[in-house]
Amino acid sequence: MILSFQNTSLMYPPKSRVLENIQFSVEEGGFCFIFGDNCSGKTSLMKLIYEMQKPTTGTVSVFDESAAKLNSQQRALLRRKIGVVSQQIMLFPQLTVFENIALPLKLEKTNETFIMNTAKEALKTIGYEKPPALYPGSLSLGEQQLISFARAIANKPRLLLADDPFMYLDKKNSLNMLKIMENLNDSGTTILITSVHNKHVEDFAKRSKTQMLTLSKRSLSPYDKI
Amino acid sequence: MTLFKNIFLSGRNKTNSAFALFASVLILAALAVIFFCTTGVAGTSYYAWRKETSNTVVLQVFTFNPPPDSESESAPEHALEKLSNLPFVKKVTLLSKEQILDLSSDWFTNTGIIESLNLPGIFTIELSSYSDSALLKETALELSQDFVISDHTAIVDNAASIFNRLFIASAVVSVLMILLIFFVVSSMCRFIVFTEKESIKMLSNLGARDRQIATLLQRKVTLIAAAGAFLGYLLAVLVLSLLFFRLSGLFVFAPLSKVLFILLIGLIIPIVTILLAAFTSYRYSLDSKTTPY
Repeated sequence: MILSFQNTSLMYPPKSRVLENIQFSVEEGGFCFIFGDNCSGKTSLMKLIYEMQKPTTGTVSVFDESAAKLNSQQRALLRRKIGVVSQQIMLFPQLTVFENIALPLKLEKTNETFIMNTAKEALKTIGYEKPPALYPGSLSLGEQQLISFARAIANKPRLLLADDPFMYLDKKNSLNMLKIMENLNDSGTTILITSVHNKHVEDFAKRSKTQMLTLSKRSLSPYDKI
Repeated sequence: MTLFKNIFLSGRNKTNSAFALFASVLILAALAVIFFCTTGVAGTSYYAWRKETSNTVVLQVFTFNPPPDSESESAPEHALEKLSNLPFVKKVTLLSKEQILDLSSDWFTNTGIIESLNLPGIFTIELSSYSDSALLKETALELSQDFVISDHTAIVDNAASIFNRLFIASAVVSVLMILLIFFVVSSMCRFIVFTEKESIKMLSNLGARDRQIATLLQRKVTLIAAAGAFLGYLLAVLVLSLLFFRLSGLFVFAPLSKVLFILLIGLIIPIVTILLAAFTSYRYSLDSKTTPY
């Protein structure tokens, strides 16, 4: 299992219970959707994976490693295998679009030509047509979200986490992003997406016969049961 | 690709923190260098002066005893020879009564007044070591019954007492300034970790190691602080040049090579302090359990 939650609960101090007894797993090469209303705990669930927070009870395993038990060096290496698109756009406003995409590649100290080509390819994949030397501040929120997505997929991650990535996207761009994710999944990337209930995303998930779950009242249940 | 340069402390709001760091290091470094270098150069000059002064004794002879062979040599010549033969004497120069009168003729029109004064013959004796003052006194007694020996002990002792106090005060101020630089850079580093927590968190989520983040922060802060320290140093050198020019008498004994060495040390100390502060504080901030990200 590339990702697994075992009896995982999360409580924020003093007594705010966010997740309760979460039990699910995603296989290598899997494609999983978790739908839930606002404040249902989707982001907290994602943060347990990519921020590698320690759950209050239970365990979260990523690539068969209990993330909370890893040291900072091991976490950093694990994070390099994970691409993250979050609902909060996490781009460096002081870096250009191109530099933002190149950053994770640069952290791995790969050579400059490889970085240039990979970043260009990622921009091409998302269909970005504006100059790559622009700063994120001069782009729309939707475009910024797409850049954030391009950065997440640039180094071909083994696991792609997308936390409500369609918030600023119209239907066309949302479906385009889903199509790209589907292609990535075909080439072996495991994908986990959380989203609010959204008709065209739900339709896409049903059509693609992916794993679908619902997060409601702090607990996870199969999608059909709601 | 220089993208790492711009991750931290850029953008309108964050440049204020960078400027505060730059300005405070500039002022503190300038003060530290001024105090350190003034003390260093004045100290070097003082020690050179003390060495020179302690090794010089002035013997004033008012009336000479007749020499044993008064036909072949004069009394001052005999005294000069006698003094030159003492074991601890390097060189003796004589300023005779006649030479004094000759020199004073340029300043006084009525030389009769000067002639009527009881002018001494002045022997300036350079010593290799001043270990036997009794022998010098004994020799002087053979040469004259009316003489004065000035070995500058009182002057040297007074100067030592004043200078030691000044040296301690100035050293304390210099050390205080260096500690302040350490504190300012260290606090600024921690403050920057706090203000940059979003960027740190993003980098961390992208797979940056703590060491990589620390290096980026250290490099940025060190560059800003070092630029401040260097400008502060240049400012201090300017102030010191004016000071040395104005009070050249105080520093005249300091050799140029030592002055340059002290100025070099004055540059190295703040830079090393900055590096040390940046290195230790980031390690602490990023390792600490209270890390704000």
